Amino acid sequence: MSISSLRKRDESFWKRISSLQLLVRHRAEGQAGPWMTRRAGMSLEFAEYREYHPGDDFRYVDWNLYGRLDRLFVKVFHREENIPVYMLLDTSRSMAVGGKLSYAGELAGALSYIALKDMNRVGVFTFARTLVHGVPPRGGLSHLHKILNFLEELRPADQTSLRVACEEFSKLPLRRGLVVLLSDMFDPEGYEHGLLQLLIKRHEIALVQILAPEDVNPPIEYEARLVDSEGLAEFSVSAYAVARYRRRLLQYEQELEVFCRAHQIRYKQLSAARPLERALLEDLRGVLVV
Amino acid sequence: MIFLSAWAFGLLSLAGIIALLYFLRRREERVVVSAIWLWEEELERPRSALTFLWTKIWLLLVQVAALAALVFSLAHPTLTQEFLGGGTLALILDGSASMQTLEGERTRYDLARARAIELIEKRRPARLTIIQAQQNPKLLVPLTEDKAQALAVLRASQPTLQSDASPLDVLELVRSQGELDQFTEVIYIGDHALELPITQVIVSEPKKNLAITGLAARPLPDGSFRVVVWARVENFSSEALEGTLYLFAEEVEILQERLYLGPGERRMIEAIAPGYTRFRAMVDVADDFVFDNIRYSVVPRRPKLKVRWLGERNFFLLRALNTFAEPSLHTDETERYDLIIAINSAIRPLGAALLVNSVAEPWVMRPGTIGELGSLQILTPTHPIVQNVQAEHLRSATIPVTQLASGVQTLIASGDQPIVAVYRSEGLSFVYLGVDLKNSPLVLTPSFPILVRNSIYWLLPDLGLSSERFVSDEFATPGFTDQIAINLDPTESEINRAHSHKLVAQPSLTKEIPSQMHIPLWYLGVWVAFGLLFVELLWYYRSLWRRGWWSDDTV
Repeated sequence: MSISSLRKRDESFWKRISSLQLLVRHRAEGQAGPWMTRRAGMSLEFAEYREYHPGDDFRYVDWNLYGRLDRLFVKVFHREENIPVYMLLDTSRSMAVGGKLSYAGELAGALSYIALKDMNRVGVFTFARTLVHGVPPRGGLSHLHKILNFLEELRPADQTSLRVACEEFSKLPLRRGLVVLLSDMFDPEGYEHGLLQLLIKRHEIALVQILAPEDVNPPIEYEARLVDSEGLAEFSVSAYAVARYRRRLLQYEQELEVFCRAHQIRYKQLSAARPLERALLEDLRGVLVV
Repeated sequence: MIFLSAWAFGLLSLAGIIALLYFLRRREERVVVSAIWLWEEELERPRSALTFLWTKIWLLLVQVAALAALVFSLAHPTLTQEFLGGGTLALILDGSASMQTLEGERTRYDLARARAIELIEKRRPARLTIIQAQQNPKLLVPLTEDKAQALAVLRASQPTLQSDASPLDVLELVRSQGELDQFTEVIYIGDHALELPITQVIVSEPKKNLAITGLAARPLPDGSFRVVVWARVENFSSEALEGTLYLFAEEVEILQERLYLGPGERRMIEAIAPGYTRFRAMVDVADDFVFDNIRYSVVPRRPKLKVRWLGERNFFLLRALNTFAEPSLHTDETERYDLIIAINSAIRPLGAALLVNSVAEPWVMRPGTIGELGSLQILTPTHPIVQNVQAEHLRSATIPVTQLASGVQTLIASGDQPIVAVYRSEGLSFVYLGVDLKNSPLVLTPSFPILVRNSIYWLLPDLGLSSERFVSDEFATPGFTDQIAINLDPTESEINRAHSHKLVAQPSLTKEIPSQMHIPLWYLGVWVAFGLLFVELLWYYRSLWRRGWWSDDTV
């Protein structure tokens, strides 16, 4: 896969997407970042007083108040915290169809930049049959270089197993954060189990389903020998089967959307032919970025 | 519907090439899909063999159908009047004698009539007229909408013994029923082509026919009252025919001769009979047209003729006169007479006169005596008096110098001198013969009795001297009991004319004859072909319009 085109984009592209921020709905634990959390700690904005409990940092005890009330209170400030962003990229062989993996890589790179510029930590994981630890979560724009290097080296391989990948991901000692799942979601074993595993770990999930034009309009003129990209099977069909396939695909997409809505998973479908800039500035606005 | 260029159907063989190219191009493509499990339902889907075949070849069928539609157009499909019905039909049925030729057990007229009935029932005209075409064309059915009545008249019609119709006469009869452009179609049915640019249906096959095409009898000009009889027999078949010719005078057989005639061969047979006036020739032969196997001839009875004879008597002239008439000679001016004959004398003519080297002032004058004979020339060859007369026979050593008044017509002249001249006005007609019979060999030549006979026929047209007999003339004669003469026009014996005749349209008539109503349909084929090709084009580029909702700019 090559996401070199991302590196070649001009400055105006980066300037335009730098105005975007990742949309996070839940307050999360983390280090200082753009998101406010009511937690004792260093900040500029005072929130309230709280009675001292053993273990509280003596540095936050308000000694003036102690002088007047003879009781120990600590100052509580609004603290700006960052949230870890986990890019979970599908690298199964089905992602090779129609350049979906390349597109997903570019999207992941761009989203990583948006997250990193706001002092968030970004980690990149890939999966096919199993989970692959790509780039561990780190902050700072210098981390972007590692992420892009990693994404450039991605190659499609193996079959999809969202269930296994998500189980492995949920077992990792990671703070809860925003999981951006980039996949075509073509998993014959289903997607429900895997997504539920992530929800159990209280991750916030943003699912971007990437489909290639070939997935929607298979190029079958008369009859064709269908070969599964992941080597599952192959057989012949006529052009008349395309319409029935499209009906089934639509039904599958609708079921996925209903599932996501029911579990508060943000869902967006993108075409791999959609220009990246328009996808970020228009399609994902309100879903993944603001 | 007819196809004007049926050769185009040969192009249908291109369908083989199209099928070959189709199956060569149609190969199963390998398509890599992301999720084959979304297709697996197709494996369980039952599919009939017919459906499977249809999905494989429907585009081929579209291409072949487009080719067929184009071929259909190239073949110039045309709707004919037969298909459309309605319109006005003029049907011309040949009713001449040759239509009685047998074609197997039926005559040609039977075949033509059956074909006419078939045409009427197929074309279903709104109005029609039927004309029977022969020498005297007959309107069988005036323009009518009553098809049943027309068919009844047609079924009852019979052929005649007349000769062929004149195309112009037939055309006039058609015109009497309406302007030609009112007729949707004019169809002629006969055994030979009619020289008109109309639809013609020929109902004849080559047949055998040995015919007597001529029978003539003429008294010998030797005063013996014998008659010479000539019969002409012709073979109009493409094969040799054998038969026996019989010649009868009254009821007496005067000749029997066995004949063997090759294809197209003609034979003249001659016999001499004593003073009979009615003759019959009959040929005994097995052929397909019997009406020309018998023929009749009549020698007219010599009329009694009162002749006032002026001048010297001439034996040869008298004998020639006796051959055609029974003259009684008179010299008395008070007697009533039919004809004046003047030889080497000067007369004052009145009535009919034959002037032989005579003067009849003021019409025939003689300013000189003897002149030199120059080259003889017939000035009016079509005049009845000079028919069958050879000018050379009128040669003599000297001729009288003659001056004719204006109004006297010179028929034969030597230089500026008249040799034979005629004049006719009210109450006076004469024939002038500028030859001295005593000093000329004319009387010894065959032309002399002919010239005398022609002169008498011309001077006395009311004597009934004609021996012509026409078809259906009755013989009120002893010898042939109530016999009807059926001497046919010799052309009717040529019963195989349809196979040698070349139709020549008369340009002047071409514009007047309406052509058969034709509605071309080639454009339908073109539309269908392009429609089918457009469907295939849409199918070929279907990915472009199907991808509309999934284009780059939409999600």
